[in-house]
Amino acid sequence: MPPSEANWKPYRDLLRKFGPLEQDDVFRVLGAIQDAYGCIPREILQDVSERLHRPLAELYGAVTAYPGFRLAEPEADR
Amino acid sequence: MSAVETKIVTRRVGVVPPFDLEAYRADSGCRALEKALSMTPAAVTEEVKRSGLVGRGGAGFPTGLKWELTAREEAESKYLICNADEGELGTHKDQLLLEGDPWRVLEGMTIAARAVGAGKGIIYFNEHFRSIAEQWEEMIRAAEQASLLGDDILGSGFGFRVKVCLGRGLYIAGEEMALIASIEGRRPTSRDKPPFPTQHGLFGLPTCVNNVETLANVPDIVERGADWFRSIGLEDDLGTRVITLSGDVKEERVREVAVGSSTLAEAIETFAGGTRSGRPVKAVQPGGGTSAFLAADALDTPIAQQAIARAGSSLGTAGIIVYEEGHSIVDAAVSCMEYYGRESCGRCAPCRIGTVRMLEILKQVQAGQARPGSLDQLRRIGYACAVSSTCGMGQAFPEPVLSALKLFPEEFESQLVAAPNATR
Ligand SMILES: Cc1cc2nc3c(=O)[nH]c(=O)nc-3n(C[C@H](O)[C@H](O)[C@H](O)COP(=O)(O)O)c2cc1C
Repeated sequence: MPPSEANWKPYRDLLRKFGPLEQDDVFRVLGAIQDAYGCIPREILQDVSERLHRPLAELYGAVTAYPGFRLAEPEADR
Repeated sequence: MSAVETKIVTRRVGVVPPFDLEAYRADSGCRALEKALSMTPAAVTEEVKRSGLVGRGGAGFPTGLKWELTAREEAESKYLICNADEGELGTHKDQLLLEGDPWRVLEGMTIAARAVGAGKGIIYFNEHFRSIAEQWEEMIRAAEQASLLGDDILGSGFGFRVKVCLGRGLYIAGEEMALIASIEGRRPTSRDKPPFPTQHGLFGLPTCVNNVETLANVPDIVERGADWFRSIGLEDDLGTRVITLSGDVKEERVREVAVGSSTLAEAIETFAGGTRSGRPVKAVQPGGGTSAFLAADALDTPIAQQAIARAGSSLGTAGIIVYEEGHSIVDAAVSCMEYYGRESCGRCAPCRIGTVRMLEILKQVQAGQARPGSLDQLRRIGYACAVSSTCGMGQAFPEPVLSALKLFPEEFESQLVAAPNATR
């Protein structure tokens, strides 16, 4: 289910705060997304991958390595 | 004798309000940076090299040499990374500096960046330091406004900017190669060296990674000179070490001492009030949770790398973990293994498999279910991991177990299942 327009807003807001994204912002952006959403929604990870020209698989590998990152909010896990 | 403090990097902690630029400047802050900007980068590096400062992050690499190696590389851009991931068990020294005298650490970073020619900086915090990291974000903005960071620092033409990263709960991310992978948005795993980060680091650019305490030493060295620094500590191990006392002590403490100025016993008594129960010390890990245990007969060892190494351990992060009489060494070894086992990144087989197998055997010992051959197996696996793992974690985590087996074999043997023809 694609996220609604409202769900993109926190992401757009944090992107605005970052300004033009640089390669070395990638981990910081992932952190900011996790903090804003309580998880890193797939569609948003996809968008980060496109913006920074990074393979989605690589970012997925990174995100799933840390206890402090989640792909879905805990209650949505099951 | 009682231990005495020598305050250099902790001098302002608890005295000068942190995160307050005015207060920092009024206490002679920023003078070293001004001086460094008036010198050539090579002269700054030479001064640090001559001071004999070595890294405080655990590996003890000569700081001036690392700077020289980074400076030597030709590249359009370079990175200076401050490693504030402090995840070693029993170690809280960097946290004290990051929140107690943050401007000092930032000044050290800026001087280091100038010396190596880095225009970009990253400070990578342990996830538990979130509130400190937020204060750092604000401090960095204040530094930009005061022209202490930015494109033209204090009118010198030198430009340096710092970004803040907050870790997400992986100990291995403190290892420099894993740290770089983490910032790059890849799985945080180590890799074989060379190439070293100084040659091929963050996003392929020459990168100098330094520990918080290392960088905190830089301003005083630049301002007061290498000769002054060389007057503190021992001839072959200079300056101070910020030690953390924890474990079975009355009070957990972080204190700065001149290298070699006091023994383990003196520091435990003077700063931490002795053991929690008042019973004698049974063992210590002098360099954090991956360092080998020393038994009570080594308590007279001075707090200095060479002396601790001769006694059979390593000063590592100077996290002194105390175990009092009555504390089971098997339990102590299990706690270490549980922590490091969870944190293995899984990339190289010895560490990935070794941590699991060793913990399995240790738990059997703990439960009184291990067979006599188990201890030899434990030794063999530990040794194999130590010699064949890719990074410092796999090389070091067996140390506590191996040393415990050597120092206190009877504690393990007495818990084995009796077997016919048992040789041990
Ligand atoms: C598993 C592991 C974890 C580490 N964690 C840290 C850490 O949290 N902070 C740190 O400064 N160095 C850590 N190190 C050491 C770094 O790899 C690196 O040597 C150090 O940051 C270099 O700084 P220095 O030369 O100033 O000591 C770790 C090493 C290993 C093997």
